[in-house]
Amino acid sequence: MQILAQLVGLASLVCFVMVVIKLFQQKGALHGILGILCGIYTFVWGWMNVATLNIKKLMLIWTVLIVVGIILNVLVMQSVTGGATVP
Amino acid sequence: MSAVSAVEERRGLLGSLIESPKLCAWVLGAGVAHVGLSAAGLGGWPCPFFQATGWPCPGCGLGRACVSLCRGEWLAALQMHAFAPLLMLTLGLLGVGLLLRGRSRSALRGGVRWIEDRTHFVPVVLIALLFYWALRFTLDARGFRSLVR
Repeated sequence: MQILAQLVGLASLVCFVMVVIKLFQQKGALHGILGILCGIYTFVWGWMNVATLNIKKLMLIWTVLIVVGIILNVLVMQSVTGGATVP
Repeated sequence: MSAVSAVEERRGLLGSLIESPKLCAWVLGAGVAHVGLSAAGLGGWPCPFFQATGWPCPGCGLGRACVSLCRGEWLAALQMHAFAPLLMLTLGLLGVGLLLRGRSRSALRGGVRWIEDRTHFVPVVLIALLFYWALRFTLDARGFRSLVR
């Protein structure tokens, strides 16, 4: 499960980097750095400029990966806390 | 960088965010959803950097630190991420910018832009955040990893 989560994370990171590059190109260094530090900002900005940048496919893939990532995170966390012993 | 981007860069980051209420609203909404999910113990927005590498990014832990701040647990919040109060202030400012209309919003935007132009505090804070991240790795990388995991 953890390996799957890592693979999803890696694919998500690739999508993230591709959108951050667009953010740097369109809005400059400050917005780009903010995009690196705050993935939510990059994600929202990507969806808001999906038509002008022609990145609908990329954003759809990234969205699916995020949703899958959230589900996997919850499952991994449940498996970790389920196996833990509480003193 | 295009001429328009160069002008936006000069205007400052916060000023240009206040100028885009739609972007502001979506970022705030997603941020609140993230903090809500974190508070519910569901993890929230998965950081792609952390998920892929197992190492926290400069922003990792901010959501949980904000949850601690909302609960009044200042020490826990600062231990998780020292920039959480600053993030809450910024989100509050953007929220106020969304609520204001007409002249009031223009005045707020003008004020923020004036401060940004003179103090350059946004780039300073962003660079400080990167230094803070590097410092945490240098002082106690393992502790940092286990804290934000």
